[in-house]
Amino acid sequence: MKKKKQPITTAMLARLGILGALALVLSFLETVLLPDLPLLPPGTKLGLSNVVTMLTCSLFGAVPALYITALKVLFALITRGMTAAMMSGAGGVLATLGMILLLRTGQRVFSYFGVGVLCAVLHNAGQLFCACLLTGSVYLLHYGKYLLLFAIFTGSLTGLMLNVVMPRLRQAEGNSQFAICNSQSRDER
Amino acid sequence: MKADKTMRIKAGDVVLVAVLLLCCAALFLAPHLKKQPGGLTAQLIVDGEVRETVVLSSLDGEVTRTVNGCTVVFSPNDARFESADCPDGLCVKQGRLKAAGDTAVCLPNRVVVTLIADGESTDGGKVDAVAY
Repeated sequence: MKKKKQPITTAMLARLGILGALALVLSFLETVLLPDLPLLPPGTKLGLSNVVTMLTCSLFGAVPALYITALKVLFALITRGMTAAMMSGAGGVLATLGMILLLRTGQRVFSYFGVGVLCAVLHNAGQLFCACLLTGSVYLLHYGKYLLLFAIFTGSLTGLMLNVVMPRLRQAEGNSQFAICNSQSRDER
Repeated sequence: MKADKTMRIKAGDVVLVAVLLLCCAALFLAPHLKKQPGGLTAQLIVDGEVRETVVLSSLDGEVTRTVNGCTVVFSPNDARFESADCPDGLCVKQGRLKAAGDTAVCLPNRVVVTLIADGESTDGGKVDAVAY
């Protein structure tokens, strides 16, 4: 996994741009796709853009994954204001850190399924803490059980998606000129 | 890398999900173990401070309060956000609060409405509710 320290290459910059755009579009799309069902706790989302972060983390490493997260926070700040940015940041950074840790150390024990679930739970936990700080009320923690249940569900969804996609992506990389991973990241496997 | 393309679920995944589901079940069941008798008290918390405490059972009809752009209605049986000027309106969608512990929040306006059983601590949850 160790490699020489080098500035971001043009190719990497382009990939991060595409992946970042994908993350933003997905996080917008899921607000459209998921209607306000009475059963769901309000404010919950599928966390589809987490797929992109996990994919980035797995293919390119920790720092690019944090770039994507930072981009999402910035996007939330511009489009939805300070409160949304803080919520996005608290959840996103915690989830990304957990993901980095699991993908680095736990590849034998966990598949993307487990990583996805843990990320979703951490994401919601971060947001809940942020919400508690913003309102100054610990009564919000009562809401945590609904968020936990929902996170297990959405995390399974995104995780299983990656379980299916990642091996195929890595295979495609070997025989396609449109591969999104280069030889450098292939060494990291 | 030929056969068996899809990555298998591993042992760690199963353990992790099982543990989380157990935690979840425990959180859902815990409030049912200790049933509090008596009526309900609603707290209106603004910017982290308890602005008003309303003993719901002592109300005759509905009482309306407007703070930070949120309109909150208290009635003898429940409390709810009637309307709010925030863009998402999530506080209104949280619906009616009916049992002790139920909480609705308007994050942008920093308004929280929470129900507690009569006789519980009324300090805005700063100490007691940490046990959650």
